[in-house]
Amino acid sequence: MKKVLCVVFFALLTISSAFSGGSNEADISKWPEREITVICPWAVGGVADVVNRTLATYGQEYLGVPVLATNELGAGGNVALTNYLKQGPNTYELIFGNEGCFSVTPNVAGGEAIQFTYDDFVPIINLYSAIFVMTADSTLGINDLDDLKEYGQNNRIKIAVNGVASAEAFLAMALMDNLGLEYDLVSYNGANLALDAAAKGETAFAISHQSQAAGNVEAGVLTPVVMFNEDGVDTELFKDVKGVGEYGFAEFYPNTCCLMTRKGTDPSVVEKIRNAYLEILKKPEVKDLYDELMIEINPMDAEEFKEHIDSVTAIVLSSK
Amino acid sequence: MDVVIEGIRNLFHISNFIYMNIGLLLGMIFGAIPGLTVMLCIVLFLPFTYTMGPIPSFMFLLGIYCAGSYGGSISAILIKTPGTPHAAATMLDGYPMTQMGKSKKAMKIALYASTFGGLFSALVLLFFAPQVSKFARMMGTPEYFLICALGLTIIAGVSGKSLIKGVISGCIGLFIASIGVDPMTGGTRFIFNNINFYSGFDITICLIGLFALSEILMKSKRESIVKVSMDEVSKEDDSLSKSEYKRMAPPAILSAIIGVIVGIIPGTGASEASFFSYNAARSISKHRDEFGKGNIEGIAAAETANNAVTGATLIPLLTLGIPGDACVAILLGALMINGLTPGPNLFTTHGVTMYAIIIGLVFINIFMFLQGKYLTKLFAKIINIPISILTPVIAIFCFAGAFSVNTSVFDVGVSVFFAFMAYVLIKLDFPTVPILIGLVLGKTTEENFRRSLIISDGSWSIFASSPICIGFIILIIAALVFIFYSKMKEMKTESDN
Repeated sequence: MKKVLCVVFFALLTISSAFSGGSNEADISKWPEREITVICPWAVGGVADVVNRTLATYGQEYLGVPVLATNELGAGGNVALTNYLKQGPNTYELIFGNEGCFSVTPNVAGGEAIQFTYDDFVPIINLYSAIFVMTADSTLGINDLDDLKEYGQNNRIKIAVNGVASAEAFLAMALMDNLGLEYDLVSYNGANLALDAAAKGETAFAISHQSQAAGNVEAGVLTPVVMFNEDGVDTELFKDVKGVGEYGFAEFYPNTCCLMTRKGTDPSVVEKIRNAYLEILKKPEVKDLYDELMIEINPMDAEEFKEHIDSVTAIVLSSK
Repeated sequence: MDVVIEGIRNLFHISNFIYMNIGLLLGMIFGAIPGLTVMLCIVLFLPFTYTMGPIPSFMFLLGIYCAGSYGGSISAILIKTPGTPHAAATMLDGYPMTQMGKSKKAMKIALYASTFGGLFSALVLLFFAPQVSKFARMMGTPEYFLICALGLTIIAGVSGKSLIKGVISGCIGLFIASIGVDPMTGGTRFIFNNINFYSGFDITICLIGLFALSEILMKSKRESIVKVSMDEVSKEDDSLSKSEYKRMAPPAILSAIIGVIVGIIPGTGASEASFFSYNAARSISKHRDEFGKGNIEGIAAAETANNAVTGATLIPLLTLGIPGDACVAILLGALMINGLTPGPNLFTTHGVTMYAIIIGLVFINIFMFLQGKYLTKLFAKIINIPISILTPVIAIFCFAGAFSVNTSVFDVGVSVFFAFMAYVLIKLDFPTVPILIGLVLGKTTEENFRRSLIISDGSWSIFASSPICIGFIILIIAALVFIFYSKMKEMKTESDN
């Protein structure tokens, strides 16, 4: 009797598995059938969080289901990305990731605790790129990289950064190494505090997003020195500031925010989400928000994002 | 002046007051429930403000922020479970009052003190923001370190009978605060290759374990929270006499000033302010021995300070673009969504909106008082619930709260670990409040100490580099001398007896 029951049980299991496989195939064409959650693994109120919450409001319109924005914090995004490994392909939970998670953290002290790799995820679309700016205490009269070089000949340079293992910290290290100057990175809990340190002369320089520095630059408390890109930006406030590329340096990268899903997700699902977000990024309200936050629409696909990760990894490894 | 009048005109729309009151109610509820943090409330309701415009959205968010700061005291007083870390100091005297059958009175004091603290800081923001901002700019990393070092002397005040045991508890807190990523080098400490230890422990989760869950373990054998008969409780006279108002006035005024000073310092917040003030109130009190046993000055000091922080944290935010704590960081995001870039020029470019928000903050505190006055009676009924029903309800909220902070089951385990640790320590007569102080101040103290030395290329003279630094050094020495003098006196009295 037991044997018969076992055979029946396994038969049912096989049939149900076969059907579940079939229904899964059918489900993919219908995806999404229920609400989608987009996890921002970084601070509430930060640029990525604001973008996530704003873009999510258009989810119903472009994906046909509500998109819920949420935050899962811890270890600069690494806790959320680790927990995300529990998700299977075609999941209804999407997550943000950037060069900090895939290029910086695995290559600094403590990186051995990281359980995920870039290959565990499928990049869908990069939602924005932000160019970092280096600013200086305005009383020092440093307006460009040549001034900085001159200042560095007689002074040990102190640069305020938002964490010593942050994306901007490695940009600072690469730049100072290229200039051959002696420096210290002074770590603060947030870019605003780093900027304030430079504004009151505690450090000579700070590195931050443009929008974070805007208030102090407008007030003349800080002066912009250099942009961490090829040839500067076209935002009104920073349009006259040169990029490090113009000084002949190749070590720069933008800060990104890529929407990702779990490895193995059907390409049609990825395509569907990408197309929806491409449409959302065209909304005038979204463009206004991006202008306000001084970030750029840069919808990199998987291949372009991989190139970005590889180039940042190379800079991080060379700066160590 | 025109800007101020225009600001008032912009504020006086019925919708602003409706949003303000909804925010207040939500903040009070989230603040009162252990684990449901003010920050969680702001995050949950932030998307609703996207289409509101700057003034109504700030009335709503500031309503949550201010009422949340007060709401934490309700559960701290009634069930010895601070709804927020800010209310931990309130618990020290609030809960003993509940045990004496004076819960309504304790909550009344908390409400009055919170309103006073909130109004004080709102008025400072309205009239002295530029001056306070200038003062904030004069303070840098060495000054922040010295303030934290001064804060650590509070441990002596909350150590109970044994200073040594208090110091050991404080060291446990400092050690726990060191777990995770080294803030200065990016290296890791005591993480044992476990990603969950990477960013250390969230204070709210530790608080749930240290006070709420451990209290559940402790009172599992009790039948009621109060030590007096329920008849006495129902007949409780919650009115405050003239002499009681007189007793509370000096600590409240001192705490309001402390709250404002702590509020303008980035990285510190209402938790630090309430402990600083509690300690200061204890030092100046004529009833020092009653502290920890239901002293009204203790509640007044802690609650005035944690609400005095609310307006003060907005000063560096609006004038310098620096968010003083995590909740205010969210407000920074809300400002930017509305096209307002915080910084030195904000008042020039958006003066009308700014004054509308600041004057609105005064009204937020007035409405908080009115809502609190009616809701206090309702909340007070909690102690009538049999402990056999109340305990599992609190436990559920604690676990849900611990989970909700990072949506992590691991954090629930952390809170349980802290509960057992606190249980064992209490049984061994070790105080648990110093652990919280160590946790709250540990990271900030270490960061500012090491950062100062990096800035000065290793020179210790940075800690005496400004008059403010020297002032704090004198205060630290005075505090240490006072502690040793009091202990010597105590020991002498004991040996005489």
